[in-house]
Amino acid sequence: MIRLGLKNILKPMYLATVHVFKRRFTIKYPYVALKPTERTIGRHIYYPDKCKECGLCTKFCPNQCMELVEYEYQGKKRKGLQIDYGRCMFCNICVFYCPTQALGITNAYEILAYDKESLVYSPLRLSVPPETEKGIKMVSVRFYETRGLTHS
Amino acid sequence: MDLIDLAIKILIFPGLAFIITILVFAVWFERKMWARVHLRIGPLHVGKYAGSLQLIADFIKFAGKETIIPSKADKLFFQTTPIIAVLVAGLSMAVIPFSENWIVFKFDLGLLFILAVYSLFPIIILLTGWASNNKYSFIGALRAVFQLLAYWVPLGLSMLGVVMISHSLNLVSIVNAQSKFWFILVQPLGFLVCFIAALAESERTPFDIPEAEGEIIWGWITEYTGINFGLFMVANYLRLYISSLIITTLFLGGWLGPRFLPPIAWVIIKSMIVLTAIIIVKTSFPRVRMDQLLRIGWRILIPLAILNVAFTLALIQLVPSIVV
Amino acid sequence: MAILHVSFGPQHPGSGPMRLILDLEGDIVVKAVPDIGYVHRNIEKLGENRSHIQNVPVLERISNIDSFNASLGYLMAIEEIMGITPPPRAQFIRVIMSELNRIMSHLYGLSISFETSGLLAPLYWGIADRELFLDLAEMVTGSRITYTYAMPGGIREDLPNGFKEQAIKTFNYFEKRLDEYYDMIFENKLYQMRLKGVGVLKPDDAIKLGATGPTLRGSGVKVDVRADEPYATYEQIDFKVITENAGDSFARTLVRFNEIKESMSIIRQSLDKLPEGPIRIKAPLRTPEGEAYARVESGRGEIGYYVISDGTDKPYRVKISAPSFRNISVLPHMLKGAHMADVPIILFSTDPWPFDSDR
Repeated sequence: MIRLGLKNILKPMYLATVHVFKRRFTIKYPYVALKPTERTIGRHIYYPDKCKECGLCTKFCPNQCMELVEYEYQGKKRKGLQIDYGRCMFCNICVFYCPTQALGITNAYEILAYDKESLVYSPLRLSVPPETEKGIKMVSVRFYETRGLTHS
Repeated sequence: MDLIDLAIKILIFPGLAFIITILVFAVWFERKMWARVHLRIGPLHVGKYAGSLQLIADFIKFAGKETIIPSKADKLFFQTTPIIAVLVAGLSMAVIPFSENWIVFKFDLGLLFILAVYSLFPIIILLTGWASNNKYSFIGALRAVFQLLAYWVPLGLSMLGVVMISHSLNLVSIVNAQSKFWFILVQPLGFLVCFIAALAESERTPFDIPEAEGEIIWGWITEYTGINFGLFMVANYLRLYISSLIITTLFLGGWLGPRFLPPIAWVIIKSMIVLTAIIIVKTSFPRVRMDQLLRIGWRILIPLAILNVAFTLALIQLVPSIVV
Repeated sequence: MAILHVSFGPQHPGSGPMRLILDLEGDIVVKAVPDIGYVHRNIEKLGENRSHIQNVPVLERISNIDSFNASLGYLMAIEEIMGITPPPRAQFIRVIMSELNRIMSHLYGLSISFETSGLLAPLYWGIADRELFLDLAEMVTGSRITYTYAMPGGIREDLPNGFKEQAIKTFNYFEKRLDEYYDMIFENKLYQMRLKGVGVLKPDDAIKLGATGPTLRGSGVKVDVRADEPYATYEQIDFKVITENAGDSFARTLVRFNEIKESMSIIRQSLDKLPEGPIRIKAPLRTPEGEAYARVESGRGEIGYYVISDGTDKPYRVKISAPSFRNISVLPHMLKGAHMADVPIILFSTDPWPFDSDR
């Protein structure tokens, strides 16, 4: 134990000091947000014109979070899709099995609410596309040079 | 005049107000430096400049929480040990000189006083751990006592070389004896032993096994909540800062430096450099296990310190102009 | 000497949701008894009420940082009962996603094991570097951790454009970064002092007690499902099975570290050999009667699936053999005679994942 190799003691300290001068990896969310890809799974979007009310999506959901409820659309009463986002696990099986592609996926991954009842999205709310918040700077995550990871 | 002088020195500088300010700065600096090594951002929101008042916000949060006292704990010691710990940790600030005149208590045996204060900590820690009536606190307190006793001896022995060259135990004359060259150039081995022993006395990585979070949650501070925890944190950081001040005074030349800055600024700058070295050591090494720690303390550091004393004796015989 | 009973318990920053009851004599552990069951979610029973495609996201969650391997075993068993084989392009892409998951799982497991010994900087570096691989997975499937990407008969979507360039760029960066990790951690004198010779497991004991995964390969036993019973195009790729001989915690950690490099080389070979073709074939909705057993090598060891089907579209019984459950039963043997400060180090060198052992 008396023979402490100097390289084994000094090299970790040198590596720790080098990291002080690198660019930081974390971003200051919520002032800056990460840019999602094309396939990022977020909230659903519902097109009532294409919906056949067949109920396949309701049958295939693993968690039973979808229901066909009655609502009014363009003056007529019809059945539409209601999703409970408290139970949804974003597995996309419903999108995959819809025969007319009335259900799609958007990039909006921020679904926030103050109480559990407002997490149940009615058909009219689902058919409105999500708004992008203005004023938040989106940071690209695809290229590691802009996020600061380099090797010494 | 004397009383007003003493009052200024105790309350403002280098007393209470200075300690609070320098601790706020030192802890903020440490947290930002860790964050830099870990590739993340440290405290960010509190304070106008990048989270500089974070420690004050933390202290107010600690003061606002409920202090829980376990029902089977020893009530007298449980409630008084945090205050005793802070007072004893700040006691050795009384003899550290920041300049020729800025010293609270001029004492001819200053170095011995500092060593005596260091020997009080095992008793306080043992009382703290025993009064909590908790298994984890007990194990942590025993580990801390073993560690502090084992590293107190090399700490004292490494200061012997400095005393031999400067012929006095008074801290002011030790600094004045370094006016030709700093003692780190003449005593490299003594500096190394003193640095490692000071790290172990302040319970810092790689010697922080009394408060290792992996197995014994917080060691001897486990049962303390609220303001008691805050006071123990203050005591720990105060111990760390005073260790770095002592190393500055003994080996790095105290307040001596070029004329364009006042002497007080030089002390603060040098102690911050020592603190940076301590932080870099913390982020690069894992913890040492208990039996390996005691083996380093008793079997390696004490022979090195004695070697340092022999080397200094030879140096004084060969080059008599070193001695002031 | 008197014996102190310490509960290295579920409310502890260093143990995760499982419990170890230790008997200490001074500083040495005399007896250790593991106590699991705090995160039991009854996944085997949940699998009986759902059809095969619905079971894939549910069964992924037995080990969610290693999720593709967990669902792949189930699908291999189902495809054996149905009697279909997916097309070659689907098999190659399954291998790519499986190895990507192994890299992510090893980075996470290694980072936490560095943190228990006191090294905090590699914990944050490992989690930051893992983000690059999560970005790769998000590019292909849309989620970062649990994908639902494979289905009976193949996979859901093809690889996007630009995946191969992004992957090669990431691997070139990461191979140089692994050298930095090696210098910082495995050549660190204090880390070697702390981990060498601690928690020694001899090869005969490892085989007798039922260890699996890097715990077994760290003792010198050359057992790997990808080499013994190759599944899904592992025969067309050459790779090494990595073992170390020492059997202590340092060897187990080093095995997991070296497997990351091996996984990157497997993905490079698969991307070069990728054939053109369809990505799935049609699977019948009702499975015939039968039973099948399939094994997969995940990051922690071997996951075994035993599926019994009774002719409808829901399975009759799904039985999972989890790797962390087998590794935890090696712990009482390894912990005897260790110091108390070594308990989290030995525990995390076997990469425990309590969600796996409780299912």
